[in-house]
Amino acid sequence: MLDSHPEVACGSELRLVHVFANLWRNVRDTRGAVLEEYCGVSATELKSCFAAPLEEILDRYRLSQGKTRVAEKTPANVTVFPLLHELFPSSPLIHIIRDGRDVVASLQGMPWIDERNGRPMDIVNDVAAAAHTWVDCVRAGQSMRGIPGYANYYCEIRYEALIQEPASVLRGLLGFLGLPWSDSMLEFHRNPRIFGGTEESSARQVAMPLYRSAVGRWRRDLNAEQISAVMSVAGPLLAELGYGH
Amino acid sequence: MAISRAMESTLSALGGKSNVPIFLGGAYRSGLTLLRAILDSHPEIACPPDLAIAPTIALQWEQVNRVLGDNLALNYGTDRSGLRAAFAAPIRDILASAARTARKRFIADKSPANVFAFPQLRKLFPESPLVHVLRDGRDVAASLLALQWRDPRTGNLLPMCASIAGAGGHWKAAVMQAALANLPENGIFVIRYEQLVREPEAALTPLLHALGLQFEQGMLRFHAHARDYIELESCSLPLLLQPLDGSRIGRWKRDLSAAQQREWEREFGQLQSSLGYVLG
Repeated sequence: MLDSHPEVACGSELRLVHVFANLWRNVRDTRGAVLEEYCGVSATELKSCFAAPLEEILDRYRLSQGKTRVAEKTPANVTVFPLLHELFPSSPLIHIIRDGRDVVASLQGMPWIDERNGRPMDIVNDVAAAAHTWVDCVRAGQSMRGIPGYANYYCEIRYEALIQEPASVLRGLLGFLGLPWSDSMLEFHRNPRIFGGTEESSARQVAMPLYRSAVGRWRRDLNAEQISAVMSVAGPLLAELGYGH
Repeated sequence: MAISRAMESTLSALGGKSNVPIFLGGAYRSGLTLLRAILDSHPEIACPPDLAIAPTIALQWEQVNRVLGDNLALNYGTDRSGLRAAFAAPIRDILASAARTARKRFIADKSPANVFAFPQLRKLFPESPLVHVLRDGRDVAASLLALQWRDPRTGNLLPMCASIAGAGGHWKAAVMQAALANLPENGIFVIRYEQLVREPEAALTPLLHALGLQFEQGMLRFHAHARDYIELESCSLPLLLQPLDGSRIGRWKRDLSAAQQREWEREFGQLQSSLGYVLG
């Protein structure tokens, strides 16, 4: 949807942003004081050393698409939102939240391999592990709410609302981003670049108009035992977010 | 010290390229901190205390490069060389900033762990000199076993400080890793601790010449600056406070028991002698 806006380039997952953010955190926490005191590398300079390569890649991509803004969508970004706010203070951070039970149902059976051991990731065949990941991601994103003035650069969107009232949700999002409305966003499935991304698990879904059948899919796709396992992990957060039975 | 003709030519053209960092690595207690202090006393070379940033980033690059493959080229117009450049940038920029602060033309990054990332560092920095500091493994073990380095998570002694097997395993891993990376095209300089202490000019001249620099007598007065990083290098401080001396060469004869010496010879003797260190 964002990539279909005439001013926004939002390509497939870069998968580098959280890597650089974590490297920066590691260096800052373990060597930041030494660098500052003995090497004259200030905290600001250190941040720039890790932010600049990402800016270069993303800006080159933006220019190649002829757009004025660039958005980077990788799920793991949410785990480092507070770090990203420090590295890119003026960047808006968008957190999309979906019913955790549907997230767990969607994850089951995904052909995702853990590169460290060559085996399927826990989250694709263990509903409790998937529920834990969902809770951790939502909590990580919502930790932004503890930062003063967070509403200026952190925004939450509900997947269900985006599906059911896309125009309304997108208008709110564009207002947050300072961008004008564009009808083309609702025609995202006609975007010829939609197939430019590789190996994205949702490529097939985003090549067709919005459909609502994935909302509440957990009722069909999870059995009673799985639902119980998910609720024991995610129940409190689901309730907090207003996802009922 | 063996480097290929092509590498020699590249390195001899380095003069003035302050953005080409030098990486020093090797087993702990091999004389890296001593070499750091000596190099840092050269008017053109800055060598700050152990940062351990470069190997962390270089090893992360290798993993990302393997996992992402050519996706970045396909989707972002950033090919594998662009990915290399992205990961090299923080290392290069941090070190360049440290060189500017020190007002030196060259920067040497000293970290024992660099040796475990020499192949990756070679790919990220094709023109950088890689320096392996090698020391008699028995002296490395004697030095390690006298330390009380502990795992902060468990409070237990690190394996390398707890036994001959642990100390030798660490030394062997570092030596083997350096040997694996020491292909002619990689242009790895090997500086032996024993030669550095006894004949510092001969030990350092190949590296200095490759940088277009000369050996400076002032490098031997490193001990005048020994307290610059006193809080960070306390484990090596006695060595840094005095002029070079060879009293620590062969310390294993005093510090390792007969049983420990036998164990060493049994487990690591073959590697030890293959490096030219006489057994027994």
